[in-house]
Amino acid sequence: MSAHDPAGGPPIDAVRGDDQALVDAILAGDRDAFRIIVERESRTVIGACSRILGSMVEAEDVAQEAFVIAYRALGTYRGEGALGGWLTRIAVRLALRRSGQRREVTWIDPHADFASTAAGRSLRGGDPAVLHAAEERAGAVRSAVAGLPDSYREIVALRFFGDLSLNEIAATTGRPLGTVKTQLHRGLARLRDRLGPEFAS
Amino acid sequence: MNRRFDHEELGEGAGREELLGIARELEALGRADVGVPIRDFADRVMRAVERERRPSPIGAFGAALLGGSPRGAVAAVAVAWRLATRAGRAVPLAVRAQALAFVLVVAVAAVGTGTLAVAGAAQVLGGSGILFPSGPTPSPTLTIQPTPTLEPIPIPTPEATPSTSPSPAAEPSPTLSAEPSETAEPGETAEPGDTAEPSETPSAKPSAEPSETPKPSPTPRPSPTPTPEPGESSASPDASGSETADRDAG
Repeated sequence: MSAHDPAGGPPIDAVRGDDQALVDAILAGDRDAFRIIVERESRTVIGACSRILGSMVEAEDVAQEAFVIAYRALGTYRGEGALGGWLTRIAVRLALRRSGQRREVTWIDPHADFASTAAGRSLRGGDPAVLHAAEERAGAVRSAVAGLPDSYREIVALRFFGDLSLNEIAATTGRPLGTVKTQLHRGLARLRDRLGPEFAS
Repeated sequence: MNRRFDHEELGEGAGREELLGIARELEALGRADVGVPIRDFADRVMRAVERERRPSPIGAFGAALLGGSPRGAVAAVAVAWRLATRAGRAVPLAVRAQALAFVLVVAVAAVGTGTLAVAGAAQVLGGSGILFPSGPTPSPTLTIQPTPTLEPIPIPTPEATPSTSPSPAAEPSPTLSAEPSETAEPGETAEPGDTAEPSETPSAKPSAEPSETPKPSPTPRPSPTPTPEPGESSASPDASGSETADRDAG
């Protein structure tokens, strides 16, 4: 697949990796250039959503929504941070919102396919009781993260679920690095208070 | 995937070990295998995107304004500027011209709005007397005073010159003249040109002509001071004398 410059310039493949060139090509009317971005970033974006939501199907829905929102908002991408970080931030915010809309108490469906969950995949082949315990533990952590105040929640999610470094988070969110560090520290402290000592040990 | 959390990312603070435990828990959750995205995910997204309009800074600007995001609006203008000034042929001329026109419109609107805001603020503050305080209180006293001081001019008293010089009003010290209250004193309103503007009175105009004042010797005759007319009662003899002194010197 090769997207071409609408003005007859070099094909977009020639500038693959240059986020700003890709974005400018899309803004100039080359819709196919967006496919390059989707193929390049989809795994990261879906992964971040999946870690927050704990469901691959739901994560793909949210990721798709995130890509569409990003497409509409490409006119505001200034290139201050990496395009992947910008997309991840949009997706993480959507996933956190979706996660926050869930009920606090989730009923475990005994007929559900546990193997499709994150814990199920990571602990494939283990004792079902242990697997369920791990999934419950992961659910408690996700729920605690979803219950954090907005500013802390975003930083924690970007760091641990979006897999961005603190510098990348600072660049993506436009906050100073010191602020990001402080918010991460406070977010973790809130999680400690919420989850209790058994998680902090 | 998933870079390891470093304890230095926590910074300083109490309970770092506990926080590190929480961080490890989150890290384990982040390390969990999330599976592979479905094969046609990109097609799915592109099908959804096909229904969308072509993204542009103008549309993003409007959306940001409607969404109450000034940062997004500023970013849209910045992107439009980038498109308009991007080197090479990557951006078609039509898109480039559109982006440039958009930037110009925003700039003109911003300047116009800013001017209106400044004018409005000036009107509000000026009307309330904060920005441009009107000074009606000192002006009446100052405008009245020149008339009596001018009247003694025709009096031909050469002895009057010495009588005025020793008065302290003729030698205004800088500290006194700096005070606005001094403007109300009739002694300093001797020169009509000074009395017109309160700001001028503090300036030591008399001190600029020191050559005339240092004649203190003939002071012992204060008698020839002119009989004040009814309107002249407020003016001190020193003032009238100094006026005549100026005349003589001139």
